[in-house]
Amino acid sequence: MSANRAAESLLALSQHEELVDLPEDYPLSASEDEGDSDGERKHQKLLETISSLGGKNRRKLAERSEASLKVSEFNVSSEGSGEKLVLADLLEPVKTSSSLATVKKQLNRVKSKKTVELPLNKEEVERARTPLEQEIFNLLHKNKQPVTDPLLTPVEKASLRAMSLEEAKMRRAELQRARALQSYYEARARREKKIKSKKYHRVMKKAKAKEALKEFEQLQKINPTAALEELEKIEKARMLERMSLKHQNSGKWAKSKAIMAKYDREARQAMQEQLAKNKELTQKLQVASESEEEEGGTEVEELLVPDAMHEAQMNADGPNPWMLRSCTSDAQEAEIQEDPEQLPEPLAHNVSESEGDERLVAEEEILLKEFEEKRSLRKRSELNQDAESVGSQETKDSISREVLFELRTLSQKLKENHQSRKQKASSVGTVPQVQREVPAPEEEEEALLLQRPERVQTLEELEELEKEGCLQNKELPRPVLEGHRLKKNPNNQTDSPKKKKKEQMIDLQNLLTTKSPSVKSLAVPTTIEELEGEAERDQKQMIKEAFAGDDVIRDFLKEKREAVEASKPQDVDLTLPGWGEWGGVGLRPSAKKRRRFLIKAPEGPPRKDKNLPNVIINEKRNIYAAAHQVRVLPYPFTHHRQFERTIQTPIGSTWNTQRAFQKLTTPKIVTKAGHIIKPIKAENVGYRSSSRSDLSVLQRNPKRLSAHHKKQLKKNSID
Amino acid sequence: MKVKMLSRNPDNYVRETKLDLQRVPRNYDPTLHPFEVPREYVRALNATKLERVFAKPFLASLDGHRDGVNCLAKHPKSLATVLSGACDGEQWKMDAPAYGEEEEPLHTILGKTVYTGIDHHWKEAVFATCGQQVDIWDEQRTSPICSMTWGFDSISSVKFNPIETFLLGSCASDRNIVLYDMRQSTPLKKVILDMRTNTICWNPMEAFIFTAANEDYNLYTFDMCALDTPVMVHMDHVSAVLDVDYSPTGKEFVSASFDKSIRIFPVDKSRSREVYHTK
Repeated sequence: MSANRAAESLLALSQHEELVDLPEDYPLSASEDEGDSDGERKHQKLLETISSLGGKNRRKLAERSEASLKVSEFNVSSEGSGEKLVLADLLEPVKTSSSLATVKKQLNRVKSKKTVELPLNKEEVERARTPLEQEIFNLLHKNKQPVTDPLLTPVEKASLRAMSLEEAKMRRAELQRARALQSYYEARARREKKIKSKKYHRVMKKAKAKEALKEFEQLQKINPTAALEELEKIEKARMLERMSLKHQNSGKWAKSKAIMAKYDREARQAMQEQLAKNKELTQKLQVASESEEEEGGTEVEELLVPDAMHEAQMNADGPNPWMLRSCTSDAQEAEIQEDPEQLPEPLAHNVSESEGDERLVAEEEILLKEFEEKRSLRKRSELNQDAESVGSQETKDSISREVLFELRTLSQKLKENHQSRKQKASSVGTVPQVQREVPAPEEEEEALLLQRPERVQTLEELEELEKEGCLQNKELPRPVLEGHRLKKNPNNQTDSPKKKKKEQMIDLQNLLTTKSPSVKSLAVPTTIEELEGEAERDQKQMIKEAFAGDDVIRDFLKEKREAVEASKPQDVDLTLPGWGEWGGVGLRPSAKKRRRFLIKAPEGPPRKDKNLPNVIINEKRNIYAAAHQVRVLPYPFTHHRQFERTIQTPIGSTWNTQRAFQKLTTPKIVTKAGHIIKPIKAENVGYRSSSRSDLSVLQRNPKRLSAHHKKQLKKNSID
Repeated sequence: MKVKMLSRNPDNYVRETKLDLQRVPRNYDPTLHPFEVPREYVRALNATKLERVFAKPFLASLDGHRDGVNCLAKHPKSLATVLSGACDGEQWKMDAPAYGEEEEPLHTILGKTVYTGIDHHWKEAVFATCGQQVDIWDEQRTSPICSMTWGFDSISSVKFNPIETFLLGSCASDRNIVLYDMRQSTPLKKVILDMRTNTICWNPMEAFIFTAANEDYNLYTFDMCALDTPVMVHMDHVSAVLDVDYSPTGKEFVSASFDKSIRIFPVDKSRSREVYHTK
C-alpha cells in the first residue's frame, strides 16, 4: 500500500519534472515526432524512478570538492551552488517493504533449523547379502575387528580399559617422545643427505675409517670369532681389488687426470690417492695377530712392484724424503727418523717441476733400476723368513738398516750429481729443485761429503774442482754432462761481467750499499751440525736465485731518472725547415738554425729529492687539493705572497698549541641544543623600526642612530 | 766533589689542577712536522667522511594519521609542539610527551570561497588567508579586515615576514610572486617567473630576503629591494620543489620536492649540502 502511494507520488513528481527538464536535456526534435517521443520519454522516466525506489543501482552523487560545476586548473570560481538535486536521493529514508518479504523470512527460518537425522538400522548394515560379504564378516568377527567404522575398535577399547589414566598419560608421553626423536632423526638424515661438499665427505670418510678400526680392535678383544669374520671381509675386499684393478689409474678419469697432472698439483694428488687406496686394499695380511697390530700401526708393510702407470705418479708429498724441497726438509727428516721402516718409493720423474729436469730424469732412471734390483732381492729374502714377531722385527731392522744404507748411497750419488751440475751451472740457470736436500740421518755421511774451507769463486776454480774428481759417478752419461757444461758456460760468462759491471756502478754511486750476494756459492749442505740453519740458508739461496734477475736498486734509479726527466720543463723547438735552405723529407735544418730557434727552458728550482738518492718526491700539482684552493687573490691582499703567508700556517693540532687550534677552528655559528632562536629584531642591529605607516620600507638610514633610538636599544636589551 | 744531577722544575711538567689535561712537551719546529698541506688535506677529508659515516639524521616518525598529511605547522615559541592536518580532515597536535587529536575548534568562520593557504602574523592577533584574494582577518571578527588582490588568478600560498611583520608575500597561479604591505592594505611589488612558485619563505635573519620554491626544480632567493634578479639560484632537485623553510639561524634552508627527497641548502651556495630521503 505504502509502496503504491509512493509510486503515485513519484509519478506525479516525475511528470512535473519532465516538463522542466525537457528543453535542456534533449535536442529539439521535429514537430512530427514530438508526440511519439514524448510518450517514450515519459515511459523512460517512469521506469527510472521506479527502479531507483528499490535502493540498488542508484546514481552516485557527484563529489562536492570545489562546489562548482566548472572546474579548471587555473582558477577557483566562486559560483557555488548551481547544482540540481536528484529526487531519488531524498527518498532514501523512506524504506518500502517488498511483497516477497514473508517468503524470505520463511526461507531463513528453514535454513536455520537443523535437519533431523534418523539413525540407520544396525541390522540393515550387518546383513550379509552375498557369500563374499559373509566371509568378510566372519573374518572380522573372528579377529574381533569392527564391522562398521566406530570411533574405538574393540581392541582399543580393551586396551583402554586395561590402562589407567596415569599409565595412559605416560604411554602417550613416551609415544610422543619417540615420535619427536624420530622426526629429528629424519630431519637430520635429510639434511645430511643433501650435503655435497667434498671436504666434508673426505673428513667423514676418515673419521669413519678410524672408528671402524677402533671397533675392530675392540671386537678382537671381546669376540675373536667376530674378528675373524671381519678379517674375512677384508680379504674379500682385497680379492675384489686385485681382480678388478679398480684403483690402478687405468680408467678414463685417471687418464684424463694424468694429462692434467703435469700442471695441476691437485690432479696429481688425486691420482696418488687412488693408488694409495689400491695399495691399501691389496695389502696382504699376515696370519699372526701381531702382524695385524703392526698393520694397524703402520700403513704399509710391503709394496708391490709398481706398474708402468706409477711412473706418472708425482710425489709432492709421500715417502720420498730426498725428493722433497728444502723448506719441508726438517719435517720430513723427522718423519723419516721416526719411521725408518717405511720403504721409499722409487724415484719418480719430476717432469712437472721444470723442463730442465729432463737431464735429471735420465740419471735417476739408472739409479732407480739399481734400487729396484736390490729391493727385489731383499723381498725374496723376506718371503723366505718366518712371519713371527721376532723374526719380523729383525727383518724390519735389517730392512731398515738396508734401506738406510741404500738411502745413503742413493743420496750420495744424487748429491754428487747435484754438485757436479752445480759446479758448472751458474746461479742464473735453472734451479735444480730435486736432490737439494738430502736427509742426512747418520754420521757416516760426513766422511763422504765434500767440504771445503773456501768457497768457489771463479770459473777456474770450479774447473779445478772437477778435475779433482770428487767421487764422480762413472755411470753417468758423460756426453750429457759435457753438453750441460757447454751450455752453462756461455751463460755464466755473460752473466759474470754483467754482475761485475753492476757492482761497479753501485760502487761508483757510493750511496747505495748492497750486500752483494755471493752468487756463485755452492748450495751444498755442508755439515750435520748446521742442520737447523741449512734450511733457512737454502731458502734464502733459493729466493736469491729466483729473483736474481731483479735488481731493485737499478730499477729504482732508472725510475728516478725518468721522473726527473719528465718533470723538467721541455725546450721549445721552433725551427721550420726551408726558409733559406733546402727542406724536404729526409733533410734536417742546419745546426746553426736549430741553435737559433731553440728556446731553452729555464731550469726550475732544485727538486726536493735531489739529495735523497733513495726517495722520489712527486712535485706534481694535486688537482683535488687545488679544487679547494683559491683562484683569485682575495680582496684585502695586494700581493700573492701576503696571502700565501697568511695561508701557510697550518691549522692542525700537530702544528699549533691546543688553545690556538681551538681558536682557529671555532665555527662561525654556535647554537645550543634546545635553545629557541627568535627572528632578528631591527633594534638589535641598530636599525630604526619605523612605526610611521607613510614611510615605505626602503627609506631607512641604518647608519645614523638617534639618541632616542639608542635609549630604545638599551631598554630592549635589558628586557 | 761536584755531582751533576738532573734538575727539573715541576711547574714545567706537572699540570696545575686535576681538571686540566696532562702536559705534553711538544716541539713545534716545522722541520719536525713536514708535509703539512697533504697531511692536513687528508685529515680534513677523513674527518668529513667520518662525519658522514656517523651522521644519523632521522630522528623519529610521528604516526597516527590515517590519511595523507597535507599540512604542517610549527609553534614559534615551543620546540615540542607540531600541528598537522590530514587529507581526511583530521588534525593532530603532537606535543611531547603525548599527542592526540584536537577535539573541537574554538571558532568556525564560513567563507564564500575556497581557501588554499593561511598564515598568522608574528606579533599581532591577525592572520591572513588566500584563495581568490588575500584576506587579512582579525581573530575576533568573522569577516576580513581587508582584501588585496593583484590579478585575476587564484593564490596558492601566503607568508608573513617575521622581521618586518607588516609585509607579506604570496604566490599566485599565474607564475608571479606578489608582496603586500598590510599597513597600507595594498600590494607592493610583483615578480613574474617562468614557472609557478609553490611556496615562499622569509629569512628570519635577513629582513628582506625570501626564498621561493619553484616548479622548475629550482629555488630562487630574492632580495625584496631588487626583484629583477635573484640573489641566488639553488639548483639540485630533480623534480618540482613543493615547499621550503628556513633554519632559525638564517644560514640554511630546507626544501622538499616532488622527487621524494629533502635537501638542505646553504643560503649563499647554489648547491645543496645534504639530501635526505626515505624508502
